[in-house]
Amino acid sequence: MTVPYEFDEVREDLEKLLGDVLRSVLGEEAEPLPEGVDGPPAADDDRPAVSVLAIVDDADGTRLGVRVRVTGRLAHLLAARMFATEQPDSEDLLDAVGELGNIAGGNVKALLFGSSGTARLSLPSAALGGAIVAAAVPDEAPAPAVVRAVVLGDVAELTLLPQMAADDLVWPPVVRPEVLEAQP
Amino acid sequence: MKIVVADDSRAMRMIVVRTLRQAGLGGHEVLEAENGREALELVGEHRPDLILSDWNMPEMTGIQFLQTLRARGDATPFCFVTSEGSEEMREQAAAAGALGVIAKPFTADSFSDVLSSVVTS
Repeated sequence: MTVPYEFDEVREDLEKLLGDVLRSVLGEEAEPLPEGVDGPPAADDDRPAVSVLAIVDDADGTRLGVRVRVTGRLAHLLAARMFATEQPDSEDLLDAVGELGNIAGGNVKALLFGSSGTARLSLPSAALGGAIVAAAVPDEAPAPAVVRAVVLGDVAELTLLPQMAADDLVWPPVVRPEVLEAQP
Repeated sequence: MKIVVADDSRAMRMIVVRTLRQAGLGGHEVLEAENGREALELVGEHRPDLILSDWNMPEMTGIQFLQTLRARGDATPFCFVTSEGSEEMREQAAAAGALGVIAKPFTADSFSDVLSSVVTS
């Protein structure tokens, strides 16, 4: 089981990926936030939103968690723009943040597992208000890789979590082609 | 034209429909499905002219959906709209009979480039 990247080598790619994803869903420019630099603080009563997915490579057992975290304010803006409504509800926020994570996860998979025909991506699990999403990482796991960006005055964060437990996430079905062909 | 849009994310289904419009390919009847199995039923009922499908979905994935359609002799133009645009997936999609793969994040131009040959405004 290996970590499929050297963080320093992919940092720029991950920053670009996060910026591209935010730009595509919000239609706004996102500026990378350098490591160690504080971004604009969230409001005291802000309830952050989180989306978590996992990539698992069945060939060697590699597991990598992909977590996207945004402020509640940004999640609200995101859902408002995605659903073209001024007052998105909690379900809209969960769906919007889940899709943000899904796009990020798919692009991380293409970036880091592109040549692997055996890597699989889970479906996103999203939560609001700091609720815990399945993202347990063993103590001996390599340190997470984190990149951040500022968009519309708020911080968005993309974290890669090596060896993250993935059993509690939702996975697309694996069906053998001969089963499909037998369907009416 | 009738277009089936299959994606487990309601947000992404809305974005796909909006992007079709922005690409000058709007004004068509859109039928939405949350997974490949639902989409398969819609195709049987409504005989669409185009299918836009996510790859990773619960119940039945996009590639399983496409393979099932083609195994039934259904040649409806089919395009993936997916967050995973790796070369391997593009090859798999082409081998299964897909028109193309539009990778998320996408632009209206991406839609025009791939779909303008099969969708009229």
